[in-house]
Amino acid sequence: MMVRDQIVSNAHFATLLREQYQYIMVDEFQDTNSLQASIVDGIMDGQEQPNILVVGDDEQSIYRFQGAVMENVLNFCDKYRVQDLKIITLIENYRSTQTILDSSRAVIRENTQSLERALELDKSLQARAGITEEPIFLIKAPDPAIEIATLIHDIKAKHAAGIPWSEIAIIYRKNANPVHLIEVMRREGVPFHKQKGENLLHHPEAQKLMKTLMLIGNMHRNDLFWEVILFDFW
Amino acid sequence: MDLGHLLRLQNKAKSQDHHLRNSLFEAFLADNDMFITSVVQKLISFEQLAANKTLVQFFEEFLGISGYRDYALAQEDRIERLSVLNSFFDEIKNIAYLHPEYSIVDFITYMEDLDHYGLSPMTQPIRTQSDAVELMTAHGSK
Repeated sequence: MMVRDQIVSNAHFATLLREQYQYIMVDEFQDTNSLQASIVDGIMDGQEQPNILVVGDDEQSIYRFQGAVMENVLNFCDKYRVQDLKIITLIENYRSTQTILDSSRAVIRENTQSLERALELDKSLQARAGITEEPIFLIKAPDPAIEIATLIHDIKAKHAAGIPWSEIAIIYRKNANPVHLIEVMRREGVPFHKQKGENLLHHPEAQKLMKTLMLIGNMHRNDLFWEVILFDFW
Repeated sequence: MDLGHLLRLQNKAKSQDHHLRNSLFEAFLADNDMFITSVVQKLISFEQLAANKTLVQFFEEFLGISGYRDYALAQEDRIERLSVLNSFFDEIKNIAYLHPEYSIVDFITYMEDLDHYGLSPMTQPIRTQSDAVELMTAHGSK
């Protein structure tokens, strides 16, 4: 905020920045907030032909809700439209099969708010990786336990058919999601690699240690006493 | 299945059946008075230990005397448990380095503050063997 305020109120500082940074590139623009956008705008202000390139995808936003992301990008478009703004839609994809791209597009197109609609773009992606096309199977499970059981059964069947474990991935939404999944994988002897750690303090083992230390730190914590006594490590 | 395990399951399930819980407790107390006495003695000795040792020294001794270290090593999922233990111990060492005067209560308060402000430390990634199914978030898959 201090930087933005200085750009606005201190003409000398703003000029120094404009001279030092004549070309600006912003990656993951969908995740910028209005303050960050205003700093970029402040540096670009007053330039006849601002050299600015932003790269972003409203469909990949992970920090903000769709409306806020769109507002940021649409504001950018409005601001620079008179200065020969060019919109380039990147549609070549090197990560997925065409089947996956088309299926995900069909789902995403259900969004009522999207830049694709607002700016009348066509974001139909084209697969370029040359991966063999395979059909997608959708399984509707009545509850999470059956979902996990079905998943593990399928993974074990694939491995039994000769597919290495490492060629199989399970993708989920949030990092905290796979607690029960890991429990079942361990029980069923399915080796796994969880790429990212989770909140240490929410892990059951860390909780045991924290609660025991809390009780040692204050032996009058009757609320913790029996819970700690019942821990299975004594 | 022992009574302690039944009580832990009941706690975990947050059961509201107080009658069952009280009955289990009474049976547990009747059968385990030696065990409870021994844990209480350990807790009292830890309280004294904490007052006389640095945070790091205390925790090292706590892991041995409480039986936590042996317990973690004996579990089937020891890789994950030891990974969590290492991360937890690392936090203790970091905080003891930054604040040598910190007590257990200070340490707990500090950790709770970190958690409250969304700055909680993360556990290490887990790999059970080199050929393994990859688990990742949709964002991480990129």
